Amino acid sequence: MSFHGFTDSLAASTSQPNECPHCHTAVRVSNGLCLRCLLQAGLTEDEDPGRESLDALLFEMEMMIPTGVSGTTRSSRRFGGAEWV
Amino acid sequence: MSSAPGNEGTFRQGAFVTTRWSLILSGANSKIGEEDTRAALAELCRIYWRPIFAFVSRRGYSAEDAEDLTQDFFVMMLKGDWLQKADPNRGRFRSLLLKSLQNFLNDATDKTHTHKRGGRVRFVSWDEWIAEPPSQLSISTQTLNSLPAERLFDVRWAATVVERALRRLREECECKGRSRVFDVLSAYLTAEREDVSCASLVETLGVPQGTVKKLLYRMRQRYRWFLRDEVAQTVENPADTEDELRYLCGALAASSEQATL
Repeated sequence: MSFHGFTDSLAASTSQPNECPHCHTAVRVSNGLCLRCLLQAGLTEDEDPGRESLDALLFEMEMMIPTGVSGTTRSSRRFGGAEWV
Repeated sequence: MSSAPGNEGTFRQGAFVTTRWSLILSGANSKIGEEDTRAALAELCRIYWRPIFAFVSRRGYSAEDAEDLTQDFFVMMLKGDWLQKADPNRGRFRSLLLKSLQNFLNDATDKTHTHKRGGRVRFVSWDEWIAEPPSQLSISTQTLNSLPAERLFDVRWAATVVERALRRLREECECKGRSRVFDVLSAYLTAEREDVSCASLVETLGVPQGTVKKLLYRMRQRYRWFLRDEVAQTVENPADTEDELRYLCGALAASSEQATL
């Protein structure tokens, strides 16, 4: 029987993650982020910015970053009769 | 990743909103919409199998027995009349699931001794469930060893909720070809303003400082929304989302205290 996929079920790592300076717990998830602080962030209620607002910013970046800088190849886009390159 | 019901509208003001759990509860005593109810329950089981497996393992079962028991538990839930028996009058999905699991394990203790593996029919898509992206939960050995099964279940649950919200944010960046934005800025999702070095982020991402600040602000907002949406799917009323988040925060704090005792 294969237990692939189970090894991270208790915890992916039982190293000694640093204690969070803000909440003093030592449970981390990806990017070394503190699990409790990430949960706490959800208690700050604000309006849903909607997917569009983040999309708009990511698009803004696409216009600014030269080809290859962020690991992607910029493709041209058409807007009416104009073309962004 | 599949979308939750009301994926883009769980918190719409003044609207009646259906969460996965409220859908399951509303269909519990009715044949109408039975298929949707079972699909919603199966989806919640698929998402939250790790807390179940962690709980069973912490109860002292071998990995092999824990897998079998977890599998049997899900079969009982998905193929039986679990919800009718569980009195879903009832509470949140997390607490009802834990109570059911405790009862299930009490009943199953004797069965495991005589159970023969290999000959049973498998009803749930176990291989699909465990093939999903791995968890990156990192926890100190001291904390892990000090946690009773119930507390470990809560920690694992909290990690599942948070990791799903992060994954949805990553996917949103990825589908715009900006996974690097996620890779760089997600490290600052909970950082205090003074801890964020805009200058180095400007250099790393190659965009003006104003854009870095706006991106970070929007990513934080979006992350929060995803997180609250994930939690909302496990409560009957989205208004209970904050209470559930507070409970999970408290469980994390208690687990750390437990480790230092």
